[in-house]
Amino acid sequence: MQGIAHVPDGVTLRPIHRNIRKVWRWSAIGGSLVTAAILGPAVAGLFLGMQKPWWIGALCGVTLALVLCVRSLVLIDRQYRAWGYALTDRELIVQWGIYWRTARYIPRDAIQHVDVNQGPIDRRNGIAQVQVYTAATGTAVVTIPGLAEADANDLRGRLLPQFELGS
Amino acid sequence: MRLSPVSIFTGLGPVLRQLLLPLVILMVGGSGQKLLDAVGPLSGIGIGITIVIAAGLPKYFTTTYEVTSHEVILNTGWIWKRRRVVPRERIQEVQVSQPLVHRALKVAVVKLETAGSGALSEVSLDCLGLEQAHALRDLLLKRDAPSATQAAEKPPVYALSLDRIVKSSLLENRALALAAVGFGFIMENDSLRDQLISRAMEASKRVDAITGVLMALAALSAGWIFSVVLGVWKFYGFRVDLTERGIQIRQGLGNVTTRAVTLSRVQHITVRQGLLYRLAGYHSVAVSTAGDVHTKQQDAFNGYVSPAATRSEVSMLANLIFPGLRWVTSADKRLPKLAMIARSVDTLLAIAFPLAVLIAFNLLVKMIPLVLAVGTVILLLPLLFVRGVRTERYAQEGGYFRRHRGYVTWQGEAAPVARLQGVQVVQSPLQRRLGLANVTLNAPGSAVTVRDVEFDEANQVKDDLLAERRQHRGRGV
Repeated sequence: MQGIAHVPDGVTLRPIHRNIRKVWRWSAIGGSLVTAAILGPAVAGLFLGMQKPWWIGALCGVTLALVLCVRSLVLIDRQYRAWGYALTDRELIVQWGIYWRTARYIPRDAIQHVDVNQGPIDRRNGIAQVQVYTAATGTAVVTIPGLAEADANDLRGRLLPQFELGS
Repeated sequence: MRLSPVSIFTGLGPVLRQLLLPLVILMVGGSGQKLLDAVGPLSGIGIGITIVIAAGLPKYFTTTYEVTSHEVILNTGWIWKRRRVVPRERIQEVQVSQPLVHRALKVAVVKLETAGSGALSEVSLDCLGLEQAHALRDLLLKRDAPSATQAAEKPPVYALSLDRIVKSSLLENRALALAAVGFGFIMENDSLRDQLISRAMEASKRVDAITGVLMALAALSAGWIFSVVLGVWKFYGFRVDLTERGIQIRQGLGNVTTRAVTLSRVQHITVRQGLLYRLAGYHSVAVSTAGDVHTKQQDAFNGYVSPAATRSEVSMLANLIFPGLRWVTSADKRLPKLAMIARSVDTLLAIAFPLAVLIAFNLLVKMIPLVLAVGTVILLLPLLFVRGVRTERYAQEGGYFRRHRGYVTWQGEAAPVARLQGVQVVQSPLQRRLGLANVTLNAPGSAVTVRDVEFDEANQVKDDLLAERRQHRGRGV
């Protein structure tokens, strides 16, 4: 696994679930359709304004969306390999990023609450995202995408301190 | 408990502000006059007052608040009832402010800020009697804290004289910023620009050189006067008082704001010295609490503990807020020389990319000389940044993580390590080649980032920060 996170001895970063690649793939395709729907008419309008054939503009817009989509699809495997997380007895360590690589270290007692989210595509692929909230501003949320449902719930359970419910 | 009955009328200001734009549009469009003719001016005012009272009445009758030993409970709403419960230990800051209308009616707005993001982190009680507002603030911050009137009797720990406010306003010259925005707007609007240029050309034929210079001077003076008026309006009577749990900042000529800040809740301090401020020896000192969320502007928080402090005053104020904090010590670490390369490339890319896009879209073809001039500046800029990078220092000392840099201007920031919520190490592709990284201390309401340190050093800083944080157990928010 590529990345820049430093983990204590005896701890290894765990990869996220393989199915996340399917989710990203569908998101890239869906996203590029939306981008094409916006960019195509927008660039066509720009060309019309410049008194040039509108269809060249539309083609440019759609091609740009297509290029972005292909770029995302090509990078999905590397993006998947860049993701990793580890829970030590003191911190939650999360790393991501292909070009701009980030490693974030969150003290366990700084965690305010944890959400487990599942979108429709996530649900279809049997995965969930875990969102970890701290009180920090701007970087208050760390989202670990694509954990198996059981892993996500297990991680949530381990991230929060255990309380005994009184009778 | 209910709000002050005066709250029925204090809705006037916001309603007027909301109505202003539609009214202007109506008047400009010409239909406003027809409306006025049909209704009559007196009936119009009557209808307006009725609307304001009608809008204020439900608010008065449906808003109640309650302060228990652990919570502040606010009930609002009529059809959609809302109950907001704020644990008292989570209150970051209590602000008592008196906008102009409130001042005339001797009432105040009390705002409670808690850690969190956006408007949800704020509870606003608009409005309470002045005495009631101060009593509530004292109760929430500390039962036996001195009231505002008592605090005002003691000498302040820091006060800003009127001549300092005037001098700093002259240096800031806020009117220039406004003029720059106006100039930009005119240049963007082709017809307006051509019209103004032709008028200026005509005027220049009629006016001789001396009158022209005098007019320019008059315009500059008007700008300065405007800036001074703004500065005095905002900072008149600026004083910092020490209360039992924190500091109380009072300022303003029109809207007098009294802000009580619990010292243990302060997350971050920033000291800035711009070029002109440097010549006068002034610094601005601002603090942020966790209630200062990123959705608001820095200025909107109004978190100055001094807009224009001398060097010794900066030390005094910084030590008041973060005891033991020193800006320059032997513990200071420098950035590696490679940081100069990284920063220069970053700067070049940041400026060159938008320029390249503009040129590609033929937008700057008419302005080739300007492009060449800007290009020269771009080539020179890295030299300035390189010098700046060499002056940058950071250290973790005495429980604080701090960073400062100063070449043409000076800027320092510090945050207590105990409040750390996370540490982040980020590496860009260029930094990876150079073996550098950025390391960020994330705290509530703020972050301190040191850019372009050696990668191993970044991890060492991360380890040291987390180790010190472990010594301070608990959330510390």
